[in-house]
Amino acid sequence: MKVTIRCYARFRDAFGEEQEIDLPPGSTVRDAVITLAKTGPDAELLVDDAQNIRSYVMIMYHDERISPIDAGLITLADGDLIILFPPVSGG
Amino acid sequence: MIAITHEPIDPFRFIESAKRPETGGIVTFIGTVRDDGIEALELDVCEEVALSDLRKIAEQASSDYHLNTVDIIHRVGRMQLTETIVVIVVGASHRQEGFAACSWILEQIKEFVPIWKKDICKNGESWHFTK
Repeated sequence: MKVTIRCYARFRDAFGEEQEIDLPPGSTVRDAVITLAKTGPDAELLVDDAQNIRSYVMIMYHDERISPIDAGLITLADGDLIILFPPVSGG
Repeated sequence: MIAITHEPIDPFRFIESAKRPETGGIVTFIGTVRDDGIEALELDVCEEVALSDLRKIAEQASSDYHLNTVDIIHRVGRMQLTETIVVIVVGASHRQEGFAACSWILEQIKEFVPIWKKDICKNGESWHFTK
């Protein structure tokens, strides 16, 4: 199946604005982020050595924020969109 | 008004429109581009999510602090030193609630609204990135 990951700000510089990635059926949001991380030289921006998503990564899925800790519990469907935000700095 | 704009913001317009018979104090925060050794600041945004977040923050502030009016206008794009980044205007019956609400709104924006600053310097550019 194919899912799209859109990145903003610092993450966009490292991984591109939008990437469509191929994943096996049953893959989770965590799997998708790990796959994306491997596409660039700055994988450590998104995941640690144990392949856990960094706690500062904000993940949007189906218009909801999900915790990096829960990303492994959410199974993706073909055509899904995941949005990744780096730590914010507005105001 | 709750808005994200690429254009310069005139805070006085929002201060004037916040005046109500039941309002005893209008508290305003104006965030501006500070010279931290930069030439300019560029702000990126996920506009759809940020606008939705700002609306929720305004609703929560209105309810929790009993506000009569709330305006939040955040600018994005490239800004020069001293230009206005964000304007928060709250109209409250009493000053204590106005000051508290204005501060709370700003801290909420800084905590989770998807807006990012990038320093533009002579020697290059760098995102604000606090892990």
